[in-house]
Amino acid sequence: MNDCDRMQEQISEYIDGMLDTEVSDQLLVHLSECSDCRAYYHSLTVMMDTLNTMPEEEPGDGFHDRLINRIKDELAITTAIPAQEGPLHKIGNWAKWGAGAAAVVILLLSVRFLGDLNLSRMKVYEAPLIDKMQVAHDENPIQEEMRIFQADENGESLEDLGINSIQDPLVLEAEASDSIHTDAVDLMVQDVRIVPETLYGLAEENGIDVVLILEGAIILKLTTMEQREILHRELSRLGTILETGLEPKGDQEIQEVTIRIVPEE
Amino acid sequence: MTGESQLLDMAKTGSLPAFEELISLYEKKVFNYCYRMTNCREDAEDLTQEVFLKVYRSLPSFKGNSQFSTWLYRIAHNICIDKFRKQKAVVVPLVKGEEDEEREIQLKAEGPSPEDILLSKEQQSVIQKGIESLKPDYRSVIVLRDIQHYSYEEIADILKLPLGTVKSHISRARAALRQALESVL
Repeated sequence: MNDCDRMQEQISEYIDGMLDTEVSDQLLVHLSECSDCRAYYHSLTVMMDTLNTMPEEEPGDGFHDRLINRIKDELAITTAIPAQEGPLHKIGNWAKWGAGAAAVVILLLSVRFLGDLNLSRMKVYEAPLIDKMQVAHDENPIQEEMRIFQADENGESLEDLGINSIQDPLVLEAEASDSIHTDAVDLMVQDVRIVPETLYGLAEENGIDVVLILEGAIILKLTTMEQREILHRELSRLGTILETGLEPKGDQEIQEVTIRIVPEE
Repeated sequence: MTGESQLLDMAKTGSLPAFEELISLYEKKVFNYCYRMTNCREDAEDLTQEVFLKVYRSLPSFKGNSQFSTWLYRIAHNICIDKFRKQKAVVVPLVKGEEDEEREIQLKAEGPSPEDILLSKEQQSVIQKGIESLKPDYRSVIVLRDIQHYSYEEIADILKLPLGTVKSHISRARAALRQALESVL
């Protein structure tokens, strides 16, 4: 960057009074000697003055009413259709949604199997299962869900499907004391206004990346333990957290976490 | 008259009338921000609706760490940027065509002071096209700083960027806009 390039970058800050005295003085000396930079300064001030006079655009007639009606309409929809029953926005989202939904299905099934097997304290899915499930979901998540349902209908155990051990959701809830540990969470809420967009705002406020917003769910990308703790703290304020997913493998910290909003009865 | 923080508290507990009052305070500003970002009134109206819908839904999680207006603009900015991403960030280069030659305008402040200039629709349109030719992040700082007059600190808060980055963004955005409008400056 030559002297003029550097000075021209500073001219903008100078006009806004953002330069300290010493740098301002240097700039003024340069301006007194350089006609190119003076021309730049002049054209920038003209441009800024012009922008300054841009009138405020008036919204069209009925804008306020349309805005209010849209909000009322959306609220009516949210209240009428519980999040878990809502249709998905896009077919393309099925793959990711399927993974979360399958995890929920497995957990629901697990309660029954745990009763049958009289198991109470077991670890979440073991590693081979994680791999197997992951591969299956990558191939066809919907088919995988159907396979699990079918197995249930046929009286097959989850072990027959390669599912070795399942954790009681209540245990997961108890253990999730101060951070989000897994990649899927059900947030049980009483306030019907709490929807995925609520969590979007929360993520924005806390510097957490949003991967995707679905009907009734949101996928966030967590990159640090601190974000897991923040997310846990914030979700706790909105409702009851029920972790339903898988823990990250090994040292892996970055993980996409699906949060499903479930209105409480 | 109910103050903004009181309205905010009421809206957070679900009061739609309170939220309507908040909307009345900010709808024009948000609409203008979206309009300057998109250069399209219909898009600006849709985006403004999305912004307030998202704000209403996000209110239960708003802690007040930043000012409401800052938070509102951050959501507006993110919604506009999302829209550009979905459109694969179509950037319209400001290439002069034959028609544009005829519409070329003179912005130089010769005679009346800048405050006295009443920009014609044509002039506004040329400037708006210039803004539209910038990449979205630059567009945003030009609109926030030079049209809506937010301070550097407020812009840093809205865009969640360090102050130094905001300074260089503003400098570069102005340089880019100046270049886009070179023929009329």
